[in-house]
Amino acid sequence: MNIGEIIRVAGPVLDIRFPPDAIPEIKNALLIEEKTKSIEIKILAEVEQHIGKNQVRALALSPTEGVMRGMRVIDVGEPITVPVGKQTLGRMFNVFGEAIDDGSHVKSDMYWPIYHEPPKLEYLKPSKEIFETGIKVIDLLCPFLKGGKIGFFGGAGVGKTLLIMELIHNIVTKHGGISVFAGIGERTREGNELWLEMKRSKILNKTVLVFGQMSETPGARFRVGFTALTMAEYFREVEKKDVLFFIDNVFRFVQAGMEVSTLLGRIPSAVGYQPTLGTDVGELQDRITSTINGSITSAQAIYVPADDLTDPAVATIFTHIDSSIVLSRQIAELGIYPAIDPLESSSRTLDPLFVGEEHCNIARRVQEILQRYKELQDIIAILGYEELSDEDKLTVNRARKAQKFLTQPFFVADQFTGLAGEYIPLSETIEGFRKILNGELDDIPEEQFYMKGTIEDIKK
Amino acid sequence: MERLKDIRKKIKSIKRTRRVVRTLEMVALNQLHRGQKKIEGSKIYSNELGKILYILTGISKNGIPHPFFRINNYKDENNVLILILTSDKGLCGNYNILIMDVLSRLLKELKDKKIKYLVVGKKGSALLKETVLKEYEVHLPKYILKEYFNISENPTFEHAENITNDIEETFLKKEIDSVYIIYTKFISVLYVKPVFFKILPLNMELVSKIVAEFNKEEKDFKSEHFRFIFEPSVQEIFLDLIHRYLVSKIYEVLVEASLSENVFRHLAMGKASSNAEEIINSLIRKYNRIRQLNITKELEDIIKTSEALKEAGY
Repeated sequence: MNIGEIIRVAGPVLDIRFPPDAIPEIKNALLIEEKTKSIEIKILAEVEQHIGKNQVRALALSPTEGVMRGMRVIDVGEPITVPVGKQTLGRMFNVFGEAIDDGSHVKSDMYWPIYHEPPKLEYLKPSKEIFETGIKVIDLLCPFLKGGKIGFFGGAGVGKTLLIMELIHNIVTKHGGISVFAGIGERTREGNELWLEMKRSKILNKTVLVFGQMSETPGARFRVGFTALTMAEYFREVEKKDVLFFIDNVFRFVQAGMEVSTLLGRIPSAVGYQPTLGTDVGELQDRITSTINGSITSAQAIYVPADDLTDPAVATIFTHIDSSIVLSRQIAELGIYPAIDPLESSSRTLDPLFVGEEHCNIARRVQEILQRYKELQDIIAILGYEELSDEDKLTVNRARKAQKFLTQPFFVADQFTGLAGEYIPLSETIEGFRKILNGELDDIPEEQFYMKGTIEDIKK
Repeated sequence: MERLKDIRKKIKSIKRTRRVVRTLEMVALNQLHRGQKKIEGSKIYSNELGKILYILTGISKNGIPHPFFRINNYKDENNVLILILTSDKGLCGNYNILIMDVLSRLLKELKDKKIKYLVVGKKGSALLKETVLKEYEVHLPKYILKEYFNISENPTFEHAENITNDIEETFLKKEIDSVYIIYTKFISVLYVKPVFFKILPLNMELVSKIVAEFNKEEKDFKSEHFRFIFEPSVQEIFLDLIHRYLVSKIYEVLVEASLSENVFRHLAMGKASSNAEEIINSLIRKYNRIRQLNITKELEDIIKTSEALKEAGY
């Protein structure tokens, strides 16, 4: 067992000197354990840099209050390990794999290190099966594959978390498989709500929750995603299951990385992000994938700072996502919920190859008339609606109906809307939009389309 | 965030629209001035004609020997013809829509009648086919007897003559029992009002109403004060006179409608140009804000990096 000595403490960053022949490897866990009359400290840190002179720079994953120069540091000899397996189901963990619900300590037969290589290329297995979500706008315009990645991009307060919750409600209850939820750097309250909600709807016993919320140190927020991912990977590789993996919020992971990077003294890159931005995101995202053993289907919320989609962090995450769903403030202002921007959102799955000819066709036509409506909005603003040609008037009317019909009552939002949530099968969604596009519903006023599930609900 | 270039492009395109709109505004104003002169002349003429008509009808108390004079019951007027004056071109606000509003008001009054239409203006013809007819199912397009296009820009006496001839013909064939006109009355440059009135069949009441409108100042104008000898016959004089009267009246409404259209266009384009102005201003503000933000971001990056480099000992 290698033992070192703390020689500098700067917030969560610790410099530690080890004997020359016993320098710990990068990413090894270090344990600082001290018990005196006045203080009791147990801190896990992670080696980040070798800075020369037999010193390593480590990042503490818990608060470093009470840590002093000269304290003993033990090199654990491997990265942080977390319990995996059936015992984790129904439980809530922190970054170290310790249970943080009020239950007992989790004892597992297996502990896995939170870092390892992403699966090899030859083990990857692409899927062609579409995942139905019961949310009209997603199913129609940005369908996603089993084993694929869906990302919810949005500024503050446009409904990312709510959308993730609805997705959990709709697909976890239907899917029946195992799901893992990683809460990164978001409100602690939301974690609690999710836990209670899952308990209530009796899906908790098939779920693993891992939280490193905004109250935690940057180190914990930076690594908690890996903890959750490791637990999900176990189910994929060993139990050979199809796993749902939720992350709320990936941007916080990048943000934590940025804090860490600055604390470690790296020169910041564009807009102050860490120079290792691409690597950081890649390390996490590359492991969220499906192999011949099983699949991980992931849904991720991504905060967009200042509603700027060109932000380097957002742009980096974008490249890893199959179905990008962009939530827009302008649409939220219109009272359209979920506030998904149908023109910005895209999915590589929206292709006749995956979804079939008819679906693809209807989806493209919906996007077309919404695009035309957007173009006409300037004319309407200047000259007024009356000056449009008859054809354009019809387009505008149908586009407005389609736009209203993209809303729907959410199960998880029933206390806000006062409407019972609805799960809309994909076939009904396609049929509804087909009718709107073909003008079969031209005489129904557009207000009737707002917050409705299916066309049958409108006709009632 | 939108790219600066996109915003610049948008500003440019809206500026172009504003230029077009402003031109139209000027054109409308110009035509308004020209039309006003026209209407002054025609008013004097139809005024005098109305006077003569009034005097003559007053004299021949025991009925006028003319098919247009019919003292029949409103209930018996089962076949109604409506002449609707609308514009050929758009960009005149809700000018045509208001006409259609008046039409639906009139249609409510004429609930059980069989109605046929004469339409002036492309817009009216289109609107009639689409909106009104859908609402009142009995009024199918085949009820539109005739459409007249390209009049509203510069109505002439000839146009009025044509329309009058068509009306007279149908009326004489007894296909219709009464005729209404819907048009936008031009009261002043600031006040126009879409109205309907009944033009045929003529009767004493209607004629006196017309005269009263012309001669608000001459209240004691009475036909008894005049004594006439008819040469040639009363019938012949009436035949000619009434035709002239109808033509002048229809010419007048054509001119008024054209003037009103220009009033509407002038207003609508004025509004549009200020709307465009507003959009341009807000786009420019947005453009500047983003530009400034980009500058700040870049500065921030440069300062941060240089500080970091300094610390690192470069």
